[in-house]
Amino acid sequence: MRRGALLIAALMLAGAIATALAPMDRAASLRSVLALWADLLRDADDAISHLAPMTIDEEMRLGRPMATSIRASCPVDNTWTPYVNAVGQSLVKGVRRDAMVYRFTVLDTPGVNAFALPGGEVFVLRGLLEKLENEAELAAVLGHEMAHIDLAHCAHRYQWQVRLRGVGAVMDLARVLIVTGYRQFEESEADTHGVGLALAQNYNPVAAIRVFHRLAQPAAAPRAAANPIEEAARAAAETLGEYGRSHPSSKERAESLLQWVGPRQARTGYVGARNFKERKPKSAAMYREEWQLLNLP
Amino acid sequence: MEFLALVAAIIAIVLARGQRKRVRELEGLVGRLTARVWLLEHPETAPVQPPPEPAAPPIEEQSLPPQTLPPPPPPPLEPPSAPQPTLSEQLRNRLGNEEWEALVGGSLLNKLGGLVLVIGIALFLGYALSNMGPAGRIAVGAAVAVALLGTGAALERRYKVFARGLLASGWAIAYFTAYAAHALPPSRLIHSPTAGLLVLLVVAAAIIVHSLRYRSETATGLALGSAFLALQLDPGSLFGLGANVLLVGAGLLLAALHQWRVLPLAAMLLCYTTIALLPSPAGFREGVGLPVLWAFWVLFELYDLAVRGSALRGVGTLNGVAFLGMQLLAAHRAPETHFRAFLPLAAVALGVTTAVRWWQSPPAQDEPLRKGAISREGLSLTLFAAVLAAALLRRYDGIWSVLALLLEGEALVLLGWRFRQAWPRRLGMIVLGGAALRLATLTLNADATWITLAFGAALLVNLHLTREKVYAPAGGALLATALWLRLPSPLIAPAWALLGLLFLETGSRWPWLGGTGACLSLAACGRLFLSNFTISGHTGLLSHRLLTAGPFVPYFYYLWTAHRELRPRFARLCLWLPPVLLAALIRFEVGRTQTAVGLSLATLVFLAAGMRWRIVDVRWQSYLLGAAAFLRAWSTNFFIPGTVGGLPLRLVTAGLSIAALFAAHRMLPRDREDFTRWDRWARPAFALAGALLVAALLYNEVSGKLLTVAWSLESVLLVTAGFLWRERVLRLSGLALFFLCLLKVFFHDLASLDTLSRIFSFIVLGLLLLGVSWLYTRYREKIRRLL
Repeated sequence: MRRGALLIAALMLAGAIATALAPMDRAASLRSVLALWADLLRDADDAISHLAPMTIDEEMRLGRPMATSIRASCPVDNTWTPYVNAVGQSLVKGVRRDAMVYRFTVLDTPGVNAFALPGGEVFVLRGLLEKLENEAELAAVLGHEMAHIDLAHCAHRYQWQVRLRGVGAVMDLARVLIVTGYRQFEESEADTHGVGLALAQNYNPVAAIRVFHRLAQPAAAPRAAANPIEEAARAAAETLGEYGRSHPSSKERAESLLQWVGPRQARTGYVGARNFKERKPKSAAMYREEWQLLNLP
Repeated sequence: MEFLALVAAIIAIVLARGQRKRVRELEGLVGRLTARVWLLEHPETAPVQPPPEPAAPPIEEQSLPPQTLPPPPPPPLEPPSAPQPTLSEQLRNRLGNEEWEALVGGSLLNKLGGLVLVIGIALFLGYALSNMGPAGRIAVGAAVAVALLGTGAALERRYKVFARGLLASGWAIAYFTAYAAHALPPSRLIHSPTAGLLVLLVVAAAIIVHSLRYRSETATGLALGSAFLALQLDPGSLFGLGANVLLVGAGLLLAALHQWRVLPLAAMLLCYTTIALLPSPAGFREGVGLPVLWAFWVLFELYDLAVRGSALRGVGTLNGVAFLGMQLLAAHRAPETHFRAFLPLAAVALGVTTAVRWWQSPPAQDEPLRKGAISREGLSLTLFAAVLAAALLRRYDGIWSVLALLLEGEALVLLGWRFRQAWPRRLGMIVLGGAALRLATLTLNADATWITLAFGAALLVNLHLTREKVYAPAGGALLATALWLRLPSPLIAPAWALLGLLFLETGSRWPWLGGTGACLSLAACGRLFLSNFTISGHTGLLSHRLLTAGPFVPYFYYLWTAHRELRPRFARLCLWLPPVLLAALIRFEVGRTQTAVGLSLATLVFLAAGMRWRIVDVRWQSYLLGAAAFLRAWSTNFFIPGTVGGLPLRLVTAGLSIAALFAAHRMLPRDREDFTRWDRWARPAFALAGALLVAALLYNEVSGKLLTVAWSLESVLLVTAGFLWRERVLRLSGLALFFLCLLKVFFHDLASLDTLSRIFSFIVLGLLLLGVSWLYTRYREKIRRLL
């Protein structure tokens, strides 16, 4: 063997040995390819969108009527709404587009969900609140929805409709096909940005991970692949299955947040279980015992 | 009985049809001969013939029997230069010295008569079964046999052919009578099986001895065949089948002694058909048929070994195929335990006979493998290999079955290599292929590592010994599978890459390994996307992603330098992979947004390398990386939360990206001798990309009251830089941005901004426009030169 080959082999071996010294991930998936493809789609989509961006005023003018019609069609839970709105408003300090006016509403339905509209309108369903245990978890949920608005995910969905009227609706329809390729990556981005907003207000970041863990459905362990070809084929099939999904699975979101939170942030922060129970926001009543170290699930 | 009668009738019809045709031919021949004799006797009526050649012997007449020759030898009618035998000559040669009518009447009718007589007597015996006691029945059989034999012996000298038919029939009846004396209950006179067998042996021996006197395959065949068919009156009994075995043994012995060719083949057909038609309850279910099948196989195998295949080629192979075929047919009828023992036993038996055949006639060394020209020994070996593989697959499960097939295949390959025989090597390759297929169907675990590894190593040894190229990819794939089984997911790609490197490096000595090495390298690169780019572990400060995927960049550059001459297309692919891997690595290391910075810096590195070493491909890579950096920067607006050194991180990343693009512009000369058309376009493209990104950054950072002022200042800077760097595209960009600012102040700022901001925007824009205009006027001549 030539000297160059020996050097390359030594470099590769050193890398492999250094990797083997620490615990390793063993999963095999084509998620990297999916991520690169999503980047490409998103670059193409955003590059065109940025040529005619929607202003904050336009976005708010778009979102208000939509929010009004939702409130008209579904009862608002007035026992929870003031508390949730107060917690949400405390997070606004960290947003990038600070001219946006945020409004938080709790709908009295048993569904376990939350969603955002363009122009700062955030809706939380009562069923989701029943699954939460403390204010830090609520802050993580609200932060996630606010991130969708702050990062203009919501505005992009209606951009062509607003700019080009009738033709824009057709273009938006075409855009749906492109967005399908990267929508779940927007969710991951909103997760980290939302936890960042909560963390800026000293909420414990581990709470968000615990929420996703609680919502995750237990899944059966897959059978081991028989050979490398089966492993690659299975990864390709899983990737195709994941392609059209709007959200990553709760398990993946928890793991992704764990990676983001784990190495860089302390696990101590305000939890606010008592605040949540009494529906008194941290900004109104801060309890000393609520500053806690939470264990990772 | 009815069956025999039916068979006899069918045979008679077939024979009669054949005889009729033959009679017609003979009548035609006689007609032609009569005409010629008439012409000879009446020459005046003959057409004028050319004068005869002097010294040509009379060919046609010489072959005629003496009594039909005319007294004076006539002159030849045809020139001697055409010695082709006529139809009549051919016919006479075939008939010998006998007249056709005598032949038909004396020989064929005689044989047919014998056969019919046997059937008639068999029918009679059947009838007699209901009317006579055992002794009477046997006595009748014996009497008929003795009568036929006696008559045959008495007439033998005068009517040779007729007598032989009688003798054959007599022996057949004698054999059947001997058989019936013990085997058939209604005529059972001998109760001891030993005695019964002894009597049969005596009769069989008598047939053999008698046949030796005549040396006639037909007569002996008829005798033995009749006896064989007669035994089917009581099919399926052990004694009857045993008697068949005895008969066949005697027949094969005679065939071997006299070099008869048809008898063994007919006997084989008869034997195996008999077994196939054995009724189920009396046959295999009770285990009767299987030993007899074995006995038949042994007899025919011994025959083939004795005559060394010289009498009739392919008897051994046919025997083996028929034997195995019958076993398969009997599979559903045989006892459950039969096949467990059968396959190993058959493999051993076939192995022994194959070895004997090879010992008897060792094939020539280095015999090329030709289609359809496999030797008798090769066919025997094929059967042996097939049965052995089936036995191993039945005996072993899972990975052990793979090991067993591997050992068998390897033994065959080594046998072929040692004795320089192509066919065993090919057989070994087929068996090894079967082992590989078996492996592919298994769910492998870490326990299978060593067997897979051994398999791969064995194939590479075979590659070295036999130079069969197919072993290289198969061996490489198996070694890669072994590594996949043993190593954790992130280490598989580096391991495959090292294996590929080893193959490629040894490719100079063993060129057939090079292609496999290249495939392994590319597979390792693909594997990175499956399990390395998205892993999250760290060792110290370095991520596992960087530790395992990073070395692939120098790896592919090394392969490019080392294989440029030998494998140019592979080398070019190796040159293009590092930027792809680097871009992916940057993406997953620093995240989507910061990738713009990484790609911008990579653009500079690749551009510098492409310029320094004058490699067009690398320059192209830098252009593509630059385009990707611009697109990512444009779409993400450099938005990253957080600060670095007191500065917002987004400004730092934006600054780095924009600076890298302008630096790329400065690094590229306007023209060079090795530049293509696209290289000349790259320089202004980099400048334009930088200018657009600055405008976008200003839009995001100062959006609102001061945007017009900010863009106006950027325009001035662009125009100035365009003058300084003599870059027209920068100057034009500046002017275009000025124009955009003009539109903005009139259509947006007038309507949207507050009074002071509006005034400020107009004043600043106006001053800057005046300044730029002054520059263009002041340096008009210089600008003209630049244009």
